[in-house]
Amino acid sequence: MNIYLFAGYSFILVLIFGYVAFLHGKLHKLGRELDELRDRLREKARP
Amino acid sequence: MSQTANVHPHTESVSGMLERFVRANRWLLAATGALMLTALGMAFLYAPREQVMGEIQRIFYFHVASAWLAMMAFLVVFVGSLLYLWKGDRRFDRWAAASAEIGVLFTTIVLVTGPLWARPVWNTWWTWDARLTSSLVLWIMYIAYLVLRGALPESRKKYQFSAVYGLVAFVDVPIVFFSIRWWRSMHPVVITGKGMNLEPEMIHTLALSCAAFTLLYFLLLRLRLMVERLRDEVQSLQRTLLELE
Repeated sequence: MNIYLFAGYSFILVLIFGYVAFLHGKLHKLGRELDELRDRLREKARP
Repeated sequence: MSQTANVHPHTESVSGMLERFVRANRWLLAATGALMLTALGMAFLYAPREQVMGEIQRIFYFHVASAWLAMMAFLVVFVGSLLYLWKGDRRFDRWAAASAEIGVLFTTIVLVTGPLWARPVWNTWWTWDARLTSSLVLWIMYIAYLVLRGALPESRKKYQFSAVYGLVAFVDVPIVFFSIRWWRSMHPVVITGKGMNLEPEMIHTLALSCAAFTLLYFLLLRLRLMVERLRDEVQSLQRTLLELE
């Protein structure tokens, strides 16, 4: 296979899958932040 | 019901949200995967070898489909920005922000695959041709949009400013499209006044690639919008905590 063609399609696939993985990681990071904040709020709301 | 539950009734975990996302979008996921694989197969096995450029011309199918997706994404930024300024609904600003990021990602693909195609055909990686230059300007403009969004604190002013920028930046999209007609360019013209200057098998492959990338866009947009909504929720909880402290 042509090296430029291989590089082009590899780049496209890596970028797309990389972006999906990035979004997945971001969602989990925000989820953890959200859980922490909810815990802190629960503590504050406790009489 | 506790005070926390009153302020933020939504307590679903991220894993639960992702499971729900996969369930709700299973047909879109399956169709996108199937079309992407078919388009990839057609680009290598069905489309004929271009006589002058040879094998490297096969990059054309995903290069053009990426450009198509990016243009569609920037159109959504434009429409979202317009609707935000008109209605003032934060939902439209989220559409614009999410779509701009996807547009930048696929413009990056266009700007990388273009030189990979140009090197063996034009014997150079880059030339300051109208199409190439206007595409680079487009990429820089939307990167600046994302940088500005990241730098400004969350406020109505930020959303308004971003919306105005989103409208102005879109001016470059028709310039990119028509640049090869308005100025002398080395870049191939695919769509002419007489139709498409391609073999029927090439047109089928290109059409299927564009369809696959259109579905991929909607899938990525929905996933990216989930991030935006979650970020809003985090910021809202942070504000509540600050008020309580």
